[in-house]
Amino acid sequence: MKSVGIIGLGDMGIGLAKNILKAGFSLKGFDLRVERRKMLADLGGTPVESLSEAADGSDVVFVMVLNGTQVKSVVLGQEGLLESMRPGSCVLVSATINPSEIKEIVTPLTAKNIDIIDSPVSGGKSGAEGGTLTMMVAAKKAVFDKYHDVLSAVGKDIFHVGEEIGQGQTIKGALQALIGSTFTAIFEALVLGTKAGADPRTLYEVFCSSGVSSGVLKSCGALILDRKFENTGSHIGTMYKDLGISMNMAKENGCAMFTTAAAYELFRSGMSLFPDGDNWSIIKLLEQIAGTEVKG
Amino acid sequence: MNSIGIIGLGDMGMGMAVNLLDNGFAVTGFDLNKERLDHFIAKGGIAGKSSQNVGKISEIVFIMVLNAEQAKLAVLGDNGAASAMKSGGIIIITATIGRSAVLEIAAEISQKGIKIIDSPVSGGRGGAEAGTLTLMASGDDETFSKCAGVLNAVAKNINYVGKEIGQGQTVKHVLSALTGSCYVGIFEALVLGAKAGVDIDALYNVISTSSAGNFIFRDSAKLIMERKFKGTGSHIGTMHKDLSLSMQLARDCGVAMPMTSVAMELFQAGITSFPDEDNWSIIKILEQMSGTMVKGK
Repeated sequence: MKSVGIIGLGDMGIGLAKNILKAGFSLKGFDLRVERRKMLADLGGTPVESLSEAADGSDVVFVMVLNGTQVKSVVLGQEGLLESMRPGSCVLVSATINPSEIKEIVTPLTAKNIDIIDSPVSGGKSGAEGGTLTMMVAAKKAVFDKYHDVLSAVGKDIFHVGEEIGQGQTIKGALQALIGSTFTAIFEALVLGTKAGADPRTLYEVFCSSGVSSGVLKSCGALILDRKFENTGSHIGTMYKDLGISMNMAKENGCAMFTTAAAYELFRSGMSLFPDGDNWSIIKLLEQIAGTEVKG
Repeated sequence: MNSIGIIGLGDMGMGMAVNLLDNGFAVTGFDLNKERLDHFIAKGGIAGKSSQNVGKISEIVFIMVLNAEQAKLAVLGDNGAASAMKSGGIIIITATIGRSAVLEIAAEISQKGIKIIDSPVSGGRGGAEAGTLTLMASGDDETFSKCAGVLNAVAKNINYVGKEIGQGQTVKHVLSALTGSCYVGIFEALVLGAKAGVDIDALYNVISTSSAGNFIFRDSAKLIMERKFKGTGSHIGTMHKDLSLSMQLARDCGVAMPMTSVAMELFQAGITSFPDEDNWSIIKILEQMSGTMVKGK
């Protein structure tokens, strides 16, 4: 069995850890926060206190941190993975970062004969906990095959999207443009229907049985009806950060994104108003403008 | 102070340089483009050999290049102006390059005793040529007052916006958000009018005499009606860059910009479709969406 490491034990990282352990792999994990390391210990994993300890003896190390700056510091920084991992092992970036940022770690890792998997995930906290994530994996085919067992432990739908590092992040960037736009469209439509006098639960049920029904609609619609806006597992900061990546990608590629741009501005407003809220907090802003409330 | 330098002799820099010459200053200029440099010599300017050479000769140096990267190179590069300027010399950044870039430049040159004024401009090529630019200047007031003579030579409305470097850029980013939104509002309204069948010349007269009839409307609507989209002095790349800096400021401050973000995307569409044209080329996209054309008699 392979030895696995995880850097970053947030909601997503802990979910990954749970399923990696469940599949029988040995697992070491590192997070700067003591309480997150304790959570790993409670799951049966081995918490360590540095990047180099997590790297030591591991065949593959997941990097599930917040952003590109953190990924670069984890991989390229002092006593980081580049310094500590052995040749022939693999760095697996499951965080969502700019495609251009992940490309920066390719040359140094390749020079040391360390493999790279660029595999952002989709599915949120519940997907991570259930081991049902969607994985968009860019890696050399041989590397993809070699670590398929580890990927299968955490993901349900595993797509090999290309051999070139960055292709995984590119697909995720495009996907987040769609998800962000979907969110704000759902919020608007629910507010419109409610203000016009429709029963919110009926609206929700009709939407869910129509062609636009989706996991996004089902989960956020239910939470909105229950007026649950915090600690439900989709912190607004993550989606806001991801939309920033989508918009940067659009700019780099000369694409105009009218719908996503509107979504991005609403997410920014949401971030300013509800910094601790989940994505659907944004509906409160639209409700306030319209003078209504979407409540089941 | 009479020996003035200017790095970047594009549409904006050339206009400013000529006004400085007309006001009796000795002006040393530099541009990588030889044609621009020759044109400058023909106007009575002194050709500098490099940014460094301009810095060496001049007491005050204007930086009027395209973007942050060029500005940093022109000032801080191995052959940059700061490498040869004397302590007490002044660099005036008139280019729109973003708050963080101007702060970076200020931090480095202050170690050499070189002063800085952060003063983006507004008014386009027309304003630069006529010496009627609007300035939004920030910097310590002693340095600012030393620059009064040269600033008066290039500008009509000189606004001192604060002591801190970066405040000039910040004001400009706010203004650009409004200017960019204003443009796309004008384009949309004109397309609506054309598609709805009104006489465009009549529409022009009505709007330009209404309270929405500003300079931007009169200037751009006229060119649109004459179908002039190239070489008219407001390259789409500049506004696209300026709007990007406005959106960056909005990101940094957590401010939602529903209107400016749409303008940004239309400028994105414009620069992809018409990379060599002026701001108003964007109207061609909206015309295509509606199947109409805004054309004067």
